Amino acid sequence: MSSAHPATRQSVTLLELVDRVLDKGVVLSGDITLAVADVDLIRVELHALLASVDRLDRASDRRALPVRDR
Amino acid sequence: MLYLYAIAEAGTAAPQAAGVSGAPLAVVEAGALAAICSVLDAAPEATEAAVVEHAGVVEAAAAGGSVLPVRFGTAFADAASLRRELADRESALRRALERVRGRVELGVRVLVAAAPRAPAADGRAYLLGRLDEQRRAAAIAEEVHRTLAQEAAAETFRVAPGPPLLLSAAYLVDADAVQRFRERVDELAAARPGVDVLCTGPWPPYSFAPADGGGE
Repeated sequence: MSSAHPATRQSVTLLELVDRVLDKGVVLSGDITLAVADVDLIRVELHALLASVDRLDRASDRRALPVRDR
Repeated sequence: MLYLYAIAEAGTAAPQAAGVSGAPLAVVEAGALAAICSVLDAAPEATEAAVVEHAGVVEAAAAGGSVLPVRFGTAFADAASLRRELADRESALRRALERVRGRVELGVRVLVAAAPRAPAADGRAYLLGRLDEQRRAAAIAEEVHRTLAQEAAAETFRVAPGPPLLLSAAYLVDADAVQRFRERVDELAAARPGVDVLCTGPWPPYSFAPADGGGE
């Protein structure tokens, strides 16, 4: 089993949820698309909220690699 | 305006859930596709609550069949313009719906506690020590990913810049193989003291929905 503290686990889950809803999913060219600045604001607030789990803060600095299919 | 949560197959009923700000859910069909949406007066404000509500609808929709989550913050002026966009993207969206059918997404983050570092004799020794640490971290991330990818139909892989976060990945896994996948995760963690392998999900297939023209 992982030794992660339950609070860490919960924070990871919230962070993963927000990352998915904001960064993933189908992108459609809608008539209205939320400004990136607004979306980034939530992320900043959330990361501040999760600052107690400070190691996760550095998770936002990452390199993305494309989806691979097999 | 129509605010979008997810794309499903035609014939899908609106999930039993409330949308952003409690708005009721509706379904707009276009060819073989169905868009799960809400009629809103204005675009939702980008708040944590709205993000969680959006995710709730996607989750409820995913419980009812194959769906592709739509990224937060997308709305159309009316059903006609939504149908036009879906018609343009129909074949890519249908392929993606087919790929995620009966599958769920699992998220994995690998974290390692920063090892206490002995004071280095000089600058060179310090840099060599850092390099060694980074190499070891990359090797752990690679190993964990390779093992878990064998259990998945598809995966995304994101190497983190280094300790403490080594890996952030998402795996598309058959719904009936989730238990097996979790067991693998536990085995990987147990075999690596000081390394946390955190598995989240099952999620709707956010990381496996086409973000571009769907040409993959």
